[in-house]
Amino acid sequence: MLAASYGARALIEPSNGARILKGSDRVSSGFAGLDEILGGGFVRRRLHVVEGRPGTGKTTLAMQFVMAGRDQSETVLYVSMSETRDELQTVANSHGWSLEGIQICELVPPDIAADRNRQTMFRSSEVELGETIKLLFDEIERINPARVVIDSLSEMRLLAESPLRYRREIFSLKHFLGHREATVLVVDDTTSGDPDLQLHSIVHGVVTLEELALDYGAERRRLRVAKMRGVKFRGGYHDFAIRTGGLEIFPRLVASDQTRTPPTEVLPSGSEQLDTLLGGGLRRGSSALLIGPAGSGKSSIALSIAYNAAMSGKSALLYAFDESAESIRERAAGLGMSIDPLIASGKIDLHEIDPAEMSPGEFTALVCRGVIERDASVVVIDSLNGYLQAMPQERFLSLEIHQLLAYLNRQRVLTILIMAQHGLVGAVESPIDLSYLSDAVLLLRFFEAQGTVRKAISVVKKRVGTHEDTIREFRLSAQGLQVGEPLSDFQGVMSGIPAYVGSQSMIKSADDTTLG
Amino acid sequence: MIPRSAEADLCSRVLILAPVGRDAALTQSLLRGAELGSRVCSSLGDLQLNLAQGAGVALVVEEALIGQDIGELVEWIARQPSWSDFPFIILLGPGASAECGGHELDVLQRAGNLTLLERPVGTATLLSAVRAALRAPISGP
Repeated sequence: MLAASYGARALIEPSNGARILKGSDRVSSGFAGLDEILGGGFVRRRLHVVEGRPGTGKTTLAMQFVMAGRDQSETVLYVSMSETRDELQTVANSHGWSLEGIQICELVPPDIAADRNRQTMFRSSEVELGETIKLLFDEIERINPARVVIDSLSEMRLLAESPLRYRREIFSLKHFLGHREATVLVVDDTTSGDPDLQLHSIVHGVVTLEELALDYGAERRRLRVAKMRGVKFRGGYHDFAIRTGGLEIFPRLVASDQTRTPPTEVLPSGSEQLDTLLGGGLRRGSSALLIGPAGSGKSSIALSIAYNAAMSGKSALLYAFDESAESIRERAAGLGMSIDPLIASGKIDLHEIDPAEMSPGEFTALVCRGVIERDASVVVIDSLNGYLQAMPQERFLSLEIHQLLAYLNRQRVLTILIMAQHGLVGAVESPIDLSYLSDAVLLLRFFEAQGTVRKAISVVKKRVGTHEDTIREFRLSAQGLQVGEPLSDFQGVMSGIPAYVGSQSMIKSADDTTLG
Repeated sequence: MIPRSAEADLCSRVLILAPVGRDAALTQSLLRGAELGSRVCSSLGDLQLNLAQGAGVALVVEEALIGQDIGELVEWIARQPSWSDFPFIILLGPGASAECGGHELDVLQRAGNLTLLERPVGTATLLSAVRAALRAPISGP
């Protein structure tokens, strides 16, 4: 070897056996979400890789990792092989961070640094690689940091030229670090597309960042722990977002992680007849699906339940994918419910969600945080159609919803899911079948009788307790929800093409205005 | 074994002509590591001066010859005793081939004993080429 030579080190990793690492062996990653996924953070004194294609947020994650150490008064070192200090400062400025207290080492390979340092004679693996590694080791030895980031290994791979040589250098790096106190993150560009499995086999842990470009809307980012030795971590993909201020990571919800408390309390809908139809009302700790064509009154029923809960001092969360907050307030006013004071007092928490901008993981995190913060009794998701648009791979929608419902049930929340069906009258169909996931299903339909369009409601499923099997007429007015007598004289109401077989009278209204 | 006299050192030394960056310094440190004496020349003229004083082999990068007046060098080669066959190791630029080596290389190739190596060259390859070149004159009369 030409320039730098570093003694052979035993290529045996100090074994930690099969024991599960304890909290004291962990280093906070700087993200509550990632710590949760990793079961406590990165493993102290170990080498971890953060990999992903360019632009997936690797450098941002790595910078937040060293800043978290800095904030705990640790000595931290950021070794930048591909970016200059100025470029890092630009990234920091864009997030409003200060890099004070972070040792930054620009480790630009000597070949590129200056013309007089250039060499054209030998392979870079025989000259620059050794020199770069020596500079790196010297710097780590001099600073003796508790956290180190090396950004990125791609430069090292270029210098090493051959995979074998590269692997040897990573080994030497790992064993050099093995004798020190540093917890290390190395950043690796997976520009070629495939993850570097050679690298995976050497390092202690691997976090993979991904970005999915959708046909429409903001890109989706997700993260996966591909490997973490001796640690129980939460597998699978977790959504994350890059915001001003850094990464926000949303751990995938695993409902079985949560403790269960049995549901008891019934929440009234605001209409005695509807509660009768429901066999007493909807319970906390369960979920209800309202399905029907657009304008059949699904959102109004959900709003009425939320309103009544809020009026009795409980707290309700409304997530509106389709409607603006303004139109919901108008709708409530039209139904004789004044929700503005309840919104002001925080009893009703109204969120407008833009499905093009929000990933399902972020939405789940938002709901979970809302439920905990507000101690919510009712959560309304209006509508699942909007939520569906937020899922780039809709085959997992039912799994996501299942986890969310299971979590909310355990939190003793009544979850109301709204799904609009295609078509207004006649044969209507659902975009996706979720009826098996919810504990109760309320079906709404339009029908035509005596020259007017009317609405029908029926409970087709309720997992716990009894419910009526009847179809009733249903009407929205300034008095709120009105549910009439069972429509026993009609046939085919649910099909939307009813045949009148009797002389039953419809709901008499005080005024003739009906609300959708 | 040749006695390590000053003259023998002079006759077995490696002359290096590689004006770019650290090329010469790195080559010298490689040769030193292999216990081979060398001298870095600053120009073609300097190389010729040193050749006149005595050397075992000349390591020259292609760029140091292209476009230069090599007439004097060719004359020097012609003046050498017939058994000498002084070796030159020419280090071609990255990706170069012998055909595109230029007029100067053609002339030199006809005049003397040239070995062409392509850069970047492996350290082991370069050392073995230098050692082989140094053996040849020693085996002479």
